[in-house]
Amino acid sequence: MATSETSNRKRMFKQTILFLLPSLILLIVFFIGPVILTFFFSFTDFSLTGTTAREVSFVGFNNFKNLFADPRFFSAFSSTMIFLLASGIIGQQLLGFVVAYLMQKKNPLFRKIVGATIMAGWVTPELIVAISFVTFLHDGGTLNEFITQLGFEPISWLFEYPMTSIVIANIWQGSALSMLMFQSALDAIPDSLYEAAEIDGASSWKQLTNITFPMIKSTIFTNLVIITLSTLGVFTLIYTMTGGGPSGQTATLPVFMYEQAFVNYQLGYGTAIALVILAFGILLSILYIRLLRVEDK
Amino acid sequence: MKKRYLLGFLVLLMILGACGSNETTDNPNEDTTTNEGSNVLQVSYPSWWEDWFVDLKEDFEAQNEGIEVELIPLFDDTTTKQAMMMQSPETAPDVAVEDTFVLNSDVNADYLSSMQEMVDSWEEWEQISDTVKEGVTAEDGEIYGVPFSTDVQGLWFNKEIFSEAGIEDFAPESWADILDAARTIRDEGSDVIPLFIYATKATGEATSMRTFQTLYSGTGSELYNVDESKWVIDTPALEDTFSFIQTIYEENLGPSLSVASNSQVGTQLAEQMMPDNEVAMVIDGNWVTGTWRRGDTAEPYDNAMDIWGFLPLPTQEGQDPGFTSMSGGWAFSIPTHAGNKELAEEFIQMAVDQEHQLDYVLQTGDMTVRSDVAESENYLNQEVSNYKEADEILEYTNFRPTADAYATISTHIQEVVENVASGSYTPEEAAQQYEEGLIRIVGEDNIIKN
Amino acid sequence: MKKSKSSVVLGYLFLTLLAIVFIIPLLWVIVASLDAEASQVLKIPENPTLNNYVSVITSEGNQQAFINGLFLSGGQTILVVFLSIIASYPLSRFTLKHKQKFMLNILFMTSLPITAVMVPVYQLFILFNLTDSLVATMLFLTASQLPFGIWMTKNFMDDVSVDLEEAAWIDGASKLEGIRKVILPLMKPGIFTVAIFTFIGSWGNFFVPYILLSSPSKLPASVTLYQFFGQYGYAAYGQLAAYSVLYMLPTFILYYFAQNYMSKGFSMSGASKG
Repeated sequence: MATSETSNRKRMFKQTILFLLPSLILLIVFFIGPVILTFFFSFTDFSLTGTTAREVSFVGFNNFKNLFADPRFFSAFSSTMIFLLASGIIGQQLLGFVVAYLMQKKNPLFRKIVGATIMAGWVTPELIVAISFVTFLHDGGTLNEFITQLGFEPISWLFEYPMTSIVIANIWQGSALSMLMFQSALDAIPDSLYEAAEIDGASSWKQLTNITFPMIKSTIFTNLVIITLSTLGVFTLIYTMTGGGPSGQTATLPVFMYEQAFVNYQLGYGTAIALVILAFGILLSILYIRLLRVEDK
Repeated sequence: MKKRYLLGFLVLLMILGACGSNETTDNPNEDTTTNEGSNVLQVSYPSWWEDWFVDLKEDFEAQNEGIEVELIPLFDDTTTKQAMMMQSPETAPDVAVEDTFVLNSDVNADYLSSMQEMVDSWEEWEQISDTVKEGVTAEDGEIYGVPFSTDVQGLWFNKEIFSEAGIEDFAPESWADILDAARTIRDEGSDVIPLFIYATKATGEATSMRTFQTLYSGTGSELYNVDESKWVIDTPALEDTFSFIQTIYEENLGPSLSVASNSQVGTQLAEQMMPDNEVAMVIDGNWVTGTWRRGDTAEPYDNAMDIWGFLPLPTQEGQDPGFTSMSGGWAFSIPTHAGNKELAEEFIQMAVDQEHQLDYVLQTGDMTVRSDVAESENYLNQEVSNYKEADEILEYTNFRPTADAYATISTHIQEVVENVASGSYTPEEAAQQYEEGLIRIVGEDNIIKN
Repeated sequence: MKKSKSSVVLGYLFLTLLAIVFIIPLLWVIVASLDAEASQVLKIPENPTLNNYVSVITSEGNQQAFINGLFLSGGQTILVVFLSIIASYPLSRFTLKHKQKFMLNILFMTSLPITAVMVPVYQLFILFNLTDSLVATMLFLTASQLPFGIWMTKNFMDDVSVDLEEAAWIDGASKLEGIRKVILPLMKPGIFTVAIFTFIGSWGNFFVPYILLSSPSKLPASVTLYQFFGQYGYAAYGQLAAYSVLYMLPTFILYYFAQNYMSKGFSMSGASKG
């Protein structure tokens, strides 16, 4: 009995390896390998041109020392946090929920049309999102045309409100996903719960806080993880819309990293920033998972 | 246990090898990477020279039967992309177009091969002027590129707008004279931009060279001390230069930031803003005329030189030698990993011969690097031209440092200038920021403080 | 859930307004693409034309760029879906030691933004002579999306009951046949969700191919569109818009066919589990 179980175990293990092997190889070569290399490069003076492109040497913690003394790093860090909080955690999550909540029990055709317009943002490729918003917000763009007709002065949105501009574009792009997730979570709440509350005379607000929120808690957390991680890596959208400017106001960590590595040719310094981004992403995931576990208990 | 890891690693290598070689068999026609004597010549170049390179391709293919020239236009951060391509034999072009500021760094990175032998046995080399040869000589004293383009920076001013504003015989002798004229034009109350300067990261090297370094050279200071091989921090000179830039933006004498932050604003200036009299003064290169001559404007602009004057930029307070300028330059180089060096040499010799050089300067408006072209009637007497003015500026001109860190420091300068223009930093803070960045990039040991 | 009439009306009003706000940025792209004199401003074309489309479509470079893009994103999507299914099977069905830890690691990997690892990836590509290779670029893209693919697919698979599969085994089906005949049909919504996620993310990404590829003949549409935007984005609005519309088509078509599956995919608790 015991031997057959161990042989069964072994077989299972072998099969598991077989099933996982192709994925593991790809992940090791193209993902874990580069992460290890990132770690390695971040302690060097590696550059894209000049003597240090050829003769790479270890510089210890110099890159990190410089990084933590670099005012641009702190501005990039706070830009990232603002972008993450405003566009991801608050914007997409809240708007997605409000839409999903309001869509309940509405006319099916209306639901379909509204849903489609919001989904359009998500289906639109990131680059087109950026292009549409640049033309929309540009000095001579549609928004300024509109507000001048209302009698206001035109505004250089992308320069005077750069962070707001990219936050709005990202909300526009990402809210659909939250909406979908909240819709299915809300649909899963049995009507009987609300009906019982109704009999007890609970207000809509009470029903929302006492029934809806507790029932969709796990969706909120999962959504939070997915949104946080995808927002942390946003590059195409920001780089195309503002290039990180003006004066680095929208240079989030990925944009800052790109500039140091590929525009300033300092690959070692750039990878040090990359390592910070990676660490930050992992830290946040751990935090969320902890929170989720606490909730489960 | 160790064996298993080793095995895993071998499998990995095999897979990688397989996808590497797959590619070569997939595209037999395209893959021409390293075969010496192959009949495809890969030429990479910044995309704005598309027309000229298409001409070169046609001419070279016509002269060499059976040879195909594959054009690789580069966009946006062209020097970055090209450096990346030159790292690998798979992607290194046979002919690369180098901005001379990065040439020495690329030599140190071992991206470029020496062309000393070629130019020694090439009789036309002596036609190329000695000043531009400096830009293609690396620290080891050898030649790593054949120059094909240079320019000078000067002050463009619109005579129509000036006479409307009541400024006659404009001949500024100091920065203050320029600012005064700009203020007068601003006070006219029209939408005209009194003085355009490149001042954002989006305009890249133009911000560093055409604006910052041209002005800075007018303080009489230098960015890099060649004798000591050290970078210079001259705080008063830095503050003065940043003050000038700050004044332009603080007093609304310059373009809006959204205009200045368009990476294509240089083209927009030449094709539209200058012909439409939307701007009164511009600190820019002499080559703007090339756009007008080519007819890239909406309406023909044949009378451009009746409207626009091109003046030497005065030094800060008119101190000796009275005027200043910066010259950039571009050269053809052959990457270390180029597969087809002989053919590349032939291509380069054709591209810089008298006929193609004349063709180039006529098309682009840049200044010629060849003395025989410089003297030719065709060159001097073409329509819509400012070569005579540009030639006079040439004696005041300066070049960018060719030290290793220049490329990185230049982008740092762009950042600082943008921070001044946008009002984020005062000139004092900007000088401080420049110093801190410089220390971060080259280390305190490589800096002298004046 | 009885609500007062006014709150229902307010709900409709808010959603309608939101829908309008959401459609405006895209409207410009569509309208300007049909305008011979398009500008940045949204306006009804005075001279409606298809010329913008003709000039974009007839360019051989653009055709090649679309084919390259379809190869990269399509190949990536197929591979991610296929590998995720195989990898998820043991993770979902077998009782394994350290499974929980493995899944957590997979989740961590989804958190690594690819932008951050591009420097070492490029060095790796040079080391193995993979630069400028479409196949290698596609494999890298696959790897970058795999953690998320596996994570989602595994959760979807957890929801497919084991009973049906066991019935198939009794009929003599192998494990692989079980996957193909029993699990896959039941997981269609989940598979479509993973596929569309992968495709949309990849189709709009210009950064990875921009770094890893260099021959103009190998660049995908995302890169050429980005270059077009950089160079002519402030002049040829009509063509830019037409190019954008054509470029959006594949994702919209894919979504159109997948949408029914997708909403089911989301009501399977799969996507919303931790």
